[in-house]
Amino acid sequence: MKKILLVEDNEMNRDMLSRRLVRNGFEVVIAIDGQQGVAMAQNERPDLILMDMSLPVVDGWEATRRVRAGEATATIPIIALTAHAMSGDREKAIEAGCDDYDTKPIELPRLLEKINALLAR
Amino acid sequence: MSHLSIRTRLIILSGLLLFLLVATNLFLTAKLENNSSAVATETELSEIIESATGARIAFGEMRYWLTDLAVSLLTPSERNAAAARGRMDGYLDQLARRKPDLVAKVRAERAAFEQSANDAVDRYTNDQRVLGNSRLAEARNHSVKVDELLAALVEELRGELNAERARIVEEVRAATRGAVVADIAILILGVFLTFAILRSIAVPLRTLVGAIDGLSAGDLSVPIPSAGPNEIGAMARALALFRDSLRARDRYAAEAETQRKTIATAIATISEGFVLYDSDDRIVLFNDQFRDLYPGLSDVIKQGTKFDDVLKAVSGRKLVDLGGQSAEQWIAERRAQHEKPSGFVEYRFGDRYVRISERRIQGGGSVAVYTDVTELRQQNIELERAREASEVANRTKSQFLANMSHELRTPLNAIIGYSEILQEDATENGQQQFVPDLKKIEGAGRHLLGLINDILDLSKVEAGKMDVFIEDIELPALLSEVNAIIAPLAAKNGNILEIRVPDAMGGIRTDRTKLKQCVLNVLSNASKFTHDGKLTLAAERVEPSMVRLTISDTGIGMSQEQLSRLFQAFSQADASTTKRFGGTGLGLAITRHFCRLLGGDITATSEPGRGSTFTIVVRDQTEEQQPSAAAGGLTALPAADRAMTVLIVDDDAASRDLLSISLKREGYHTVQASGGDEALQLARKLRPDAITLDVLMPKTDGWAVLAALKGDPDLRDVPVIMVTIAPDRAIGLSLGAAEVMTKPVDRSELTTLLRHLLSRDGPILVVEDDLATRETIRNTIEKMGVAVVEVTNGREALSWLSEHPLPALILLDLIMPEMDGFEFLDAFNRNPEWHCIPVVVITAKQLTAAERGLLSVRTIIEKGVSIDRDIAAIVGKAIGRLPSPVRTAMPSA
Repeated sequence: MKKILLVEDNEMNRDMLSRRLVRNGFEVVIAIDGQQGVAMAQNERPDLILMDMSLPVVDGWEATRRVRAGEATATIPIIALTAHAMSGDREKAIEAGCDDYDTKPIELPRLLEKINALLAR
Repeated sequence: MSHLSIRTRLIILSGLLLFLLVATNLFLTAKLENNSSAVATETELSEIIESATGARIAFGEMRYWLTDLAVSLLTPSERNAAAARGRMDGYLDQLARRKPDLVAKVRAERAAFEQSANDAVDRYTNDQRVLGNSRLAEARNHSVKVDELLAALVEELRGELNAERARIVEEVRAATRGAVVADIAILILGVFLTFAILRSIAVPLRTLVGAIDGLSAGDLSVPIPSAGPNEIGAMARALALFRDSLRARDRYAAEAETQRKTIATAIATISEGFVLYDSDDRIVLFNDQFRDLYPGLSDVIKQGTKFDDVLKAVSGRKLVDLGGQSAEQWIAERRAQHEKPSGFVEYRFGDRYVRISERRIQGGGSVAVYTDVTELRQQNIELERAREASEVANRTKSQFLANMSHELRTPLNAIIGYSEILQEDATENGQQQFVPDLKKIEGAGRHLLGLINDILDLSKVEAGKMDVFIEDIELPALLSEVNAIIAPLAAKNGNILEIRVPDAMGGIRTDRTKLKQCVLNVLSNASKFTHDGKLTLAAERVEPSMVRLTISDTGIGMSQEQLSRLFQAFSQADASTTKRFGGTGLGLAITRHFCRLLGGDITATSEPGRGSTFTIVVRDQTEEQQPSAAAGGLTALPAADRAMTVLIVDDDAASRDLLSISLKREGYHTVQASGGDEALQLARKLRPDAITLDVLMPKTDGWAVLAALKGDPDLRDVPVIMVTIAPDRAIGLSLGAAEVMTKPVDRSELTTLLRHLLSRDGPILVVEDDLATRETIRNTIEKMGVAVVEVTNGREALSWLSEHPLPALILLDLIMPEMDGFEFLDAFNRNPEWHCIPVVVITAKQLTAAERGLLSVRTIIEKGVSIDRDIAAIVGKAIGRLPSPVRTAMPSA
């Protein structure tokens, strides 16, 4: 069973997404801010990280950079989740080291496609 | 007589007098001739009388000797008698010429005497004394007869002689009388002729002298005799010319005076303080407003005061706020500004703030304009505060919107997400009846989310905070993504979607997200408003750097009125459509903003009931655009093949004709106007290439016409050459004239100037520090086949201008490092050679009224998405590549 780290500060988003991912057969671990997310990535070694960008303590871009900087975590695929398809968010995410990005509100089939594509790599 | 020259008249007079003199002489000579013949006759008569007397004496001797012979019978007596007879014959011969009858009688009687005497001699010889005595007596009788005859002859001759003498005397008297009469007649005739001719000369001369006296006394209305063909006529013509030139001088003087008064009145009337310093920096002229600036300084503010003394008085008497400087520092600062004015300075005089703008005048001296900017300053401060307040408000609003949208979106995400989860749960748990309602919740949530996103986009665009991220994209790939999204929507209404992209389209550089959003917006609209129809998207490259996407549908279409509101926010074609078709009504407004951000635009055409076509154009911002290839793709526009038209404005027909003739000789079309109003009408109708404008005209004067021309956006770029008696070049140029020329106009100078003004060969000088703007401008202009020279600030522009031939046009940015546009224009305006170069200002700056004033009459283009079109239009006009149709219909004036 693939392990997905979901870094998301909003409780309801966290709840919805984690429930739907579990329902689709993933093991989900949760972090509620960037700092925690980086730590969880180190400890849990997930197969994939879903990273919200606007996070407290350390934001998603910075967290991504830190994950990429960590020797053990550098190769974990990261999908950035942005609030709105604003130009620039995607670029900034890719620049920070994300492999893909998706916009909220989440359209689950689209997201699953991206997750599966990255896991299959 | 009056048509004869004075020389001819004098020749005629002396000729007549000479003729009379000669005639008199001939007459007298003839008379003298007569007299001399009469005298000859008289002399002849005298001689004859002598002969007669001689004959009588000789006869007396002959008688004596014959008588003696008869008595003495001596031979000597006989000889003596014969000698006497011979002498008598000589005399008789002479007498016979005149009196042959009498001489014959004498001779007969003498013969009888001789016979008697000889007979008597014979008788005495024969001593027949008695017979001899009788014979002698007979002879004595004959001799008495001869004597009587001769005496009678003498008497008769004496009578004749006396008669002759009397005749001569009479003739001499007659001749004398005739001569006297002739002399008197000649005298009278001569006097009359002389008088008449002198009169014919003197009378017009007197009139001329009168006219000269009148002219000298300044009376220009004195009549000058009409000019005949003679010397007086020539004098009269010369005098008339002299009078005309005096009149012209007077008229010019009056015109100059009127002009001076007009300017003086204008200066006195303007609300600003005005002062003119001469090259010595002494006050020449000032108005009351200037004087009133310095209360209590009326002893200093007067003609002749030096600028320095004004400064000293102003600073010494604390009339000006020195701004913390010492009086000396302030004077030094003020003096520096005065000597090398740039822009303007502001000082506080009492409670008033005054802006001082100074200009040096050609040939020394300067003018200064003092504007009370207290209110303006106050307004500016208020404006600044208002601007700050509005910026704060705007920031607050943006922040609020950003926060709001985040805060709104978060619960919406939950609503949408949980309704989706509930749908999944319901399906899983076999509770299908809840799914439709849950779908409605989800749908409403998504709609609300769309609205919020659109409003956020729009507010970002309108706040100018929408960022653009340009990247390389493959258009076919982008459009297939679009296809994936739109195809289901289209299918829902039974529509066919067709997307056509040429294979050669290749990659373009633009903002991927925005372009996609634009296309999606238009296509989703098309899907909504079309049923069982066809949607077509066709992509093509229209210019090397422009990509066009044409999206057509066969839907319900729009009316003209609906089309006009199409791209406004919150306006769907019909208020009811929102209800029927959904949508936020913001999509197309955002789409237009996005297209413009991408260097293009969106336009729409439509026919109600037939469908609509939307055309999206965006710029391919691939960096290595090749201008040469770009230019090669377009056919070079043909150079305008037509004569330049010059409008000649002057109230004096002769001046107009003169100018017209010399300009036509140079190959210009000319059109004439006799007054200001007519000039403006013609200028608007014909759009001449240049205008010559007389200053002094009745009704509308030249300055007013100039102001009207410069105030007309269509005409303000037409160079105007002012023609005036008393040129004030600085004022003329500051009012927008291309040149000010002195009347009478030097024609070669004018044609040289015109050639200069109308040359359109130069490159276009772009003065702009921003690389991107420069490139946009360069691309636009080079596409028109015109050369571009780029400099990055005012100083570079000035040095380029001074080292190169004149450019056809200058495109000028205002805000630049080192030397900005205002400073550049200041220096530019001071070089008269450059006045004919049109300057177009390009700026993104919101210009204040004062700044607009400084730019005076320049055309201003605001930086924005349509800058290239604006520039193309301006450049086209400047290089004469866009001849308007009226020009070809020019009357051949």
